[in-house]
Amino acid sequence: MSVECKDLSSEEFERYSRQIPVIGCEGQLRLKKSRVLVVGAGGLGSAVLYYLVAAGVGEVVFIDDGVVELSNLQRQVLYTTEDIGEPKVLVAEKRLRALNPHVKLIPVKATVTEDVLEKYVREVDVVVDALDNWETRFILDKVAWRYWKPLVHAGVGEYYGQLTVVKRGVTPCLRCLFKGVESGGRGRVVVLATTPGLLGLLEVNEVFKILLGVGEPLYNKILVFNGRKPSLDIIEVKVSECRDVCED
Amino acid sequence: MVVRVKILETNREVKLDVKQITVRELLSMLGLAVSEHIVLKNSEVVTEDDIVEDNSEVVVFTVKSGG
Repeated sequence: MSVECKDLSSEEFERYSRQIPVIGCEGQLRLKKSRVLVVGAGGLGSAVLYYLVAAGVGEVVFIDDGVVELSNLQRQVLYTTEDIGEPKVLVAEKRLRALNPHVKLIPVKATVTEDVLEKYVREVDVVVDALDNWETRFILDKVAWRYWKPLVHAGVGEYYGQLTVVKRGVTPCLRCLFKGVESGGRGRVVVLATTPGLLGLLEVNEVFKILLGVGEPLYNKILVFNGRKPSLDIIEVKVSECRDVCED
Repeated sequence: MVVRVKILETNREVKLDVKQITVRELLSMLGLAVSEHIVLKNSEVVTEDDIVEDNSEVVVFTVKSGG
């Protein structure tokens, strides 16, 4: 065991023993010392939360105001039939604590507003967008931008999804990148069960790259997933005039 | 004069017989909703009122809002 690994308990060392050879003890400790905010605990959020917690991110804050509904269960794998009617964040906390008791979990049952986000965004290292509409996404984007926090975005529908990472000083904001789409969404989500799972895992992969400082986060690129073909396209994007859109 | 548009979702290229066209008109001709598509002209994000000209490299792809 290297010097750095002494900061992990023997239980933690065994738990992460298939990951430590990949990211090193230093990487595992980086995850342990990291704080991530996940906004939304639905289809994307279920996958994101499971893997952040399983992999040993030290503190995970998650916000959602919903209760578990029968129509969620086809894709929101954090929940079971017995949970119907229960607040999502409280059920999620129970499941995630059972998965990995070493992670500090902060469930927040609240409507996602600018005030709520103000309280939590500033305290974390990375923000994950697991929301289901552009209007709230753009509020999240605004607050993450204000505090210079990397924002990992994904959106899904049917067989399709997209993923990108926004970081002030490196990329345009989400509102600028996706300007024009704000009138979409807020309708009933129709989606194949696997689509949010796949995109959620890709979001976590971006979080890990950012936290560990390895690889190439999806800056100024949009990954477009088409589950019908299937295909993954990575598109380079540029936006020339964003100051008016991104600055408060 | 032709504007060539690559539609990622179907992986097909469409040739529009126009010299220039707004993004709004382009999406309308293709039967695609503005609220669910991003249009790139030479890798640059363009919006409804922007104009796409002949010889531009245009890519359209779907974006989804669900989570």
